Amino acid sequence: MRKPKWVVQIAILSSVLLLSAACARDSGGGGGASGGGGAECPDSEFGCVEVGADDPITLGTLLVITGPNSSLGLDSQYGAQIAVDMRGDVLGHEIELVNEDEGCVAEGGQTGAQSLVSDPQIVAVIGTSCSSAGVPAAEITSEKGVLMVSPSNTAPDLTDPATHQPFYARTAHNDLVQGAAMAQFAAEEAKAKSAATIHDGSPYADGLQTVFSEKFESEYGGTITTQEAIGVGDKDFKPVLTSIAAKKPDYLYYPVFIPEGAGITQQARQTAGLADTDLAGSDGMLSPDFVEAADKDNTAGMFLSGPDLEFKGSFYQKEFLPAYKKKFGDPASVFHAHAFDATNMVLDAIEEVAVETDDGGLLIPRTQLRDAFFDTSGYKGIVGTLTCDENGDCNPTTTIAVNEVTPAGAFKPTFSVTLDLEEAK
Amino acid sequence: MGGMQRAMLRLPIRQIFLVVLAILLAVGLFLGIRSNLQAGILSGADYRSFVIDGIARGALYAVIAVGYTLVYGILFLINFAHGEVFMSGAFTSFFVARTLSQTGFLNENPLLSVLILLVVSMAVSTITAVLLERIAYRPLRGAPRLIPLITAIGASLFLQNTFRAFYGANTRGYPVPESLQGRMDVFGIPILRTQIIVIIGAALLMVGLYFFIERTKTGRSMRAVGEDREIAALMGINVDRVIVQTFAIGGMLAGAAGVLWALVFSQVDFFMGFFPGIKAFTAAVLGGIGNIVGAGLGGLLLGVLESLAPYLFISPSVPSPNQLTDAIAFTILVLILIFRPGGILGSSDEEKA
Amino acid sequence: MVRALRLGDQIFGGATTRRAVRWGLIGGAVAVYLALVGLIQRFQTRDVISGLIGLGSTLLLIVAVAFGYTAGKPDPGSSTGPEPSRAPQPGGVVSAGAVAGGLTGAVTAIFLLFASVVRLQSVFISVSDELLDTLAFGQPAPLGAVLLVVAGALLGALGACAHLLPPRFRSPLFGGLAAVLIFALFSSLLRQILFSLYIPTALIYSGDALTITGLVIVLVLTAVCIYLWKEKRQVAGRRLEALPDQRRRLVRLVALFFLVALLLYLPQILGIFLSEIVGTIGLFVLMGIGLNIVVGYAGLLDLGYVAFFAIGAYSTAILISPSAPAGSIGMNFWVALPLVVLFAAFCGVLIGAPVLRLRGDYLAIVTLGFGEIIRILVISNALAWLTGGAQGILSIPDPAIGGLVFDDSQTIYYPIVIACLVVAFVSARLENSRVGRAWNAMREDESVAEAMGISIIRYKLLAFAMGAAVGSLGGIFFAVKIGSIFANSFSLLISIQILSLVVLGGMGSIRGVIVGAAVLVGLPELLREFAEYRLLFYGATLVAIMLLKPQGLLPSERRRRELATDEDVGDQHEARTGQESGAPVLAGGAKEAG
Repeated sequence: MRKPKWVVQIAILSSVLLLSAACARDSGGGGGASGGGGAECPDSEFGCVEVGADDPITLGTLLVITGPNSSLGLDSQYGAQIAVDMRGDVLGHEIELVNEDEGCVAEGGQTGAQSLVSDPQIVAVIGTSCSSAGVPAAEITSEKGVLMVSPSNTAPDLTDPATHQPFYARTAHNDLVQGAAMAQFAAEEAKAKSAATIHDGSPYADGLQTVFSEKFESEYGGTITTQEAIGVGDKDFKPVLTSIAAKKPDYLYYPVFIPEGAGITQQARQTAGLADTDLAGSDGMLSPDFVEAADKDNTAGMFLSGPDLEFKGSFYQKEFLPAYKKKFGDPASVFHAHAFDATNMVLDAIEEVAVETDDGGLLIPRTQLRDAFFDTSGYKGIVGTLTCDENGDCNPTTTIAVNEVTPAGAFKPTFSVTLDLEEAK
Repeated sequence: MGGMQRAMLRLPIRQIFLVVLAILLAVGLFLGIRSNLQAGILSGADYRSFVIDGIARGALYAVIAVGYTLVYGILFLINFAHGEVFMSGAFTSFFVARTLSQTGFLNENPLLSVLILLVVSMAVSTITAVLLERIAYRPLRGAPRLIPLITAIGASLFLQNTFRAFYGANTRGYPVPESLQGRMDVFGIPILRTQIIVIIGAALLMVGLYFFIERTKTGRSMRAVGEDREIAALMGINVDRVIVQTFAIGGMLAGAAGVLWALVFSQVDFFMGFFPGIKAFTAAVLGGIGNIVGAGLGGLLLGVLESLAPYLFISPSVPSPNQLTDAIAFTILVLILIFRPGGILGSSDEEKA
Repeated sequence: MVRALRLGDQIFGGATTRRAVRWGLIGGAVAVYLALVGLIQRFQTRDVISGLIGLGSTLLLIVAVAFGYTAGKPDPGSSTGPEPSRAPQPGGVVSAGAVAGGLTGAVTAIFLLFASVVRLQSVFISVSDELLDTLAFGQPAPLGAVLLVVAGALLGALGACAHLLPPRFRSPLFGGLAAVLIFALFSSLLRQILFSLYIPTALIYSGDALTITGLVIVLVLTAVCIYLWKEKRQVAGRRLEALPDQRRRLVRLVALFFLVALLLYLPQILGIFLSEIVGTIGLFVLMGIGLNIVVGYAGLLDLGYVAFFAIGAYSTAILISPSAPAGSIGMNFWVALPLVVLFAAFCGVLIGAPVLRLRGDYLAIVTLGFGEIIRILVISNALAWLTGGAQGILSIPDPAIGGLVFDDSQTIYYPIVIACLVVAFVSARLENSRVGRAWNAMREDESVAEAMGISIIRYKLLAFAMGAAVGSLGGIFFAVKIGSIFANSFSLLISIQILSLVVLGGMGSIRGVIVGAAVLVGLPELLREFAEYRLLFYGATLVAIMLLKPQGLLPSERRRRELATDEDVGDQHEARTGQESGAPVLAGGAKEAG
């Protein structure tokens, strides 16, 4: 009889595991510990990260590095890496990055966050890329007291007072601001009286077009003729563009990602009824890859919103970009800037609260780190001047630029507006 | 209750249900069409362009569907990886197209360029299809149906990600020759030049295939093997070779469809074959699987319905009808299979499992 | 050409040259493929032996060794020799291995030389200078090419030598080598485990890779353990069977006790991250058991199973989340659970009813369609008032019993495991009941079953309903585990994953589902750093399993008899035109698959 044999085998295995678990050393995981050398951890709730004398300070990243949107996540990861490279060391300790993937799905965000928080050496996390992954990830990191700063989550829910997780913050602009900026541009600069929108089923795109539509109608008296949606992976947009063209909107706003955005742009140019319609997108398409996929002739004259990077000082142009390009090639997106700023802000906060132990190690108290980070005010980053509010929005007063795509395929800022999050709400 | 009585009770219920369903559908469709036409947003020209878009898309589905139907007719296998066969040719031809475009050759000799691209794409797709058959399907010839199906799914995933790893995950813009861009008026209806090429090209391919299957010796062998493999073997037909030929032809067609697709939608990426593959198989089932004319018909029908249905049947008060396109397509499939389980050109009897 | 081959056969005896050449070419193709796909560079970022050899180079080595091994396999009943040779002739085996390995190296070398001249990177993005460097052992290309051929031949010969070992040493050797690879690949995980067991890791690991001492220790220890295990297992098994009934029952009870204790204590042993993974595996086990009922027992090919997953998740969210778009119902989780399960069963009947009379493959595509329809509906703007559309449903509360809240991975584990056990129990009982037998009959031949008085309609609907109910459990726990749901989590890929793990484990077998879930869901989570290649491995694994062991890893008795295939069925089919038969052949040891 086969059955007893394998049951016994499993039983032997289980008893071995149980015994070893019983005798096992308690492997770390929070809890106030006193570090070597007499220093006490000032955080009694979440404890301290103990960095040994020769150990590096470890930061985690949780971004979308696989799948069709991986260029976005990788771009942020590279931004963080450049920040680490440029910083060199903090309080005599090197800095190391541990990179995880969130796959732009909720369960990816959760598993990746679990993986990172289960490593007691990780001080803070730069992530996530996608808002759908960010929601569960923020919950997990906040439960364990791990600071998480997102470079590109834009969904309003993440910093809404009702749903905000205490250890979560972001340097990315809130959708509320970007959508409002685009509505203003459409109405005041492009002089559009009517507009149509297309989203792709992602919280990012849907969030933006919702805000845009609301503002366009309520504040600028415009009319939204159609709100349509496509699916990620769709290729044929002619029917939906034809139906949108039937109502002759002045402005077509599709804040989606590169593959679909390129297709829509090309086919919109082929749709007779849209010949006089302005085409517009958002920072998901603010990348040279987009121009390449859609072809320069088609993208010429379109408007893409995004953070205002061009004007903000020479550091970005003269030092950051060359360093980035040398190591990673041309950037595929813009969020490397937000990741760069986020990383630096975290490192600054670490410098501020870390307690040095006698043997040359560090104790980094988690709650104090979070407090120090959230107290950041007037920080001059690439993205702008960053001040964190109590809900985790570190970019509440954002300058959004609307760039026009030149016939050569370059992005030329033609409009910028600085909006306050409070006003935009 | 006796078995007889039970059986008798069952039959009328099903008929009644079908009739009621048909009536409900008809009423729903009528109401939907009426409210759309009454709303008056879309003009006749718009509907015409829906139809044209649908025909162009459907033509591509048809060409891909033929590959499915041929293989199914012989091996009773849903070649899930056929979509990837399609993608492999299209994506590889992109690199040739890019070079042609960069050297200016593409715009100077558009027709010759397209021909070159077709050859490249068809070659790559055929190789992929033949390798697929040899490595993944041949060893499983006698296995119960589920096994090759799973293998096909696995092969599909494998090929997708292989090409992703080869060529990168980014979407590429496919260069279209200048003289093929823009619209043309055909009988007063504006059609994109690329759409004309697709429709004509697909038609030629389908007609060519039809004559090939009906008239040539290879075609006859294929039909024979599809009818009864054992007897065909007894008649001296080399069944293995015929099967390889079937895959090869399916591959060639898919490769051609790949270039046509790329010209119309101007984009290629590693994932471009997955959903068109599923749609094409749906089209084949719709038209009656194992049947080339069925594949053609099913493809056209599916394409046109996909374009038209959201804006014709779904009342204007439903937000974002375009999002429901695929749902409509699959609903149509379910409905057809309820009323005619063999597909449009198939038998109306229920098939044995 | 033929004469040269015959000469080769005469010189080499047992193994044919032709086969060696074939394997060598295939090996070369595999190696070049791995290079083009970028696996070699990706792996090369990790070291196997710290500072000495990278994982990517190891991969190449393995290819050469593996194909050398396969080529050197002594042919049972060789078609070229006058009489089948009994013992493998060392010369023949080794040279076959050398030929295969050398050819592998040669093909790779040709690729290397070609790539160093022609700039391939604009097409094949992975062919970077680093790759060429790795391939050439860090030497200039021509020298590297020569090295490849030589190294390939040597490694191939080495691989083939494994055949010369007495059989009882072979598994320990392979096991030891596999253990080395496992220790290298999962270094971070194992280092934590070893650390918590007071084993000094500095001896075995240096950074993320093994030290040379570590390599030796792992290799030798594992090999010895496997050797002893194999020897003693027979003895132990016999002793067990020799026990009187009562004693045997006692042994089983004790074993069961340990098993239960393990299950109870597992989250503590594993820690948060691993508990999270086990929880996810548990969800897939739940859905796997459900799909197992539909596909494995009743033989209904359902490619849209994710629909029930989605229905379970969304229904739960709508019922219990305070931020449900249609308004907060705020039901208690434990009240909502049975309601959702019943609703899902109802949906199962709804979905099953129209497709009752469809043939297997039509059924597959229609169910696929249903799965997609559900996904489109939940993401659509049209139903956003109910399902949240693109924004999903957030703030799903954690289930609680009295004061105990299941709010982290180590606690939510328990409801999931209990659900798995309940469902497994129910499923096992079903299998052996009248219903199960009816399903069996239906699966094997519908018309015959109907003629015997089995109401096909009723049993098919029952299968769909049960499958849906169980599948919805997966969705229910998914919703509360993650706390928020977005429509992009419910894609066709999930249906494919569930089907794959059922098939991989063995259709109709519950143990198989558990193993399948552990392999196809657990492993990729542990290997997150290679996430880009996850789907690639997935597809390759599916194809490989179907070709090599289609009955799955742990098939149920019945399936094993139905689908028994030998390893060599592939070769045998080469000469045959397989005849596809609808009903599986039941005779034991059937050589023809099916």
